Amino acid sequence: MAQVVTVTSGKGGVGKTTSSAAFSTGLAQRGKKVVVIDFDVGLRNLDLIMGVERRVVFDIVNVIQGEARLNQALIRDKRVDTLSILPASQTRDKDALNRDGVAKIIEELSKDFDYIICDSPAGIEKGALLALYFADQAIVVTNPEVSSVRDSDRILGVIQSKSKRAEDNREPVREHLLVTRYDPIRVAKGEMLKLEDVQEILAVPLLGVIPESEAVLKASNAGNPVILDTETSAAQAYADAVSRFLGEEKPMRFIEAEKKGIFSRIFGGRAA
Amino acid sequence: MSWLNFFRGRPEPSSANIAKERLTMIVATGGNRRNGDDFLPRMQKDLMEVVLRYVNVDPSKVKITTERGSDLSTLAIEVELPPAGQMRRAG
Repeated sequence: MAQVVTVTSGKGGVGKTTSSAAFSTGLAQRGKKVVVIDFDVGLRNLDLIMGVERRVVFDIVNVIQGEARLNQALIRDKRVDTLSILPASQTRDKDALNRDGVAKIIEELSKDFDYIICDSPAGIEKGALLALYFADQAIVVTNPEVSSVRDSDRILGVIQSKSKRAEDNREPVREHLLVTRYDPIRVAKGEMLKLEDVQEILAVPLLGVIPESEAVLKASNAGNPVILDTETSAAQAYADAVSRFLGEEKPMRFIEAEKKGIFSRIFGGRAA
Repeated sequence: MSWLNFFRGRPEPSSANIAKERLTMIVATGGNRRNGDDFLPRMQKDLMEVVLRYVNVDPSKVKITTERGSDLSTLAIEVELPPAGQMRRAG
């Protein structure tokens, strides 16, 4: 049986799609069969971040409406061959998705894949609710910033009350916290919430901390999941998060401000 | 921060600390999360039955509220009793 993992946050722009792309690519690199679904109908972006936008022929709405078979809509990744992408529709609205349709898709995907990653839209309305309804696990993406933390708290409440697992009174959805855009230098200056504070407020086990990094924008410019830029701190932090997800012990990295030496002080330069 | 802080004795709290304090308040009192709040409706019903067993009051005059704070959480049961003349024991 496949595990359904929903990447969600409540707030928009915190890194859900970047994290979905990196995380599913990372899982697939470990040999897992992974499919990542874009639930943001009307505002699809996962295809762009994954660099497959020109290969989209059919999307999730076509499959639900019976206009295409699931296999026709799935896009096989060319970099990691155990990874597939199911794009969202760009032209329809959120109402084109329905629970029965999504249930059927997930059931069918469960036969062929180990992990079904659901990239949730922002908000707590229909699209987001559908993305988390079938979740076995949830990765809550949070920036160390007040509105993001509050929205994460809100979405955690939604997961705990509106998911299928909650409705069926089964074991609750397993929650993970992924802190993104963390800037240890600003934390050291007292300008940004500390990791421990975010953790204390949300009280969810920490899956990883992704440092603020120029590599993320570069990767999305190129349509390359950032985890593939293995030299960068962001890629390494995502790879660590994948390892932890699979049960390995990994100490958190990139959470302390590096002491700048005299040369880097003079010649500048920023972390990759 | 300016050099004047040197004379003020105590440094101003950092903006990150202010953020944490504000978040702790809203998350603690917001009731967004389960945090064990699930039992509340059932407890409310049970408490109501107990109150009504001993005093004959209008159920709408029994108020049960919880409040969560960072240091202290409270459970308050407020029963508005009828005037002394009309009071009688239930059952």
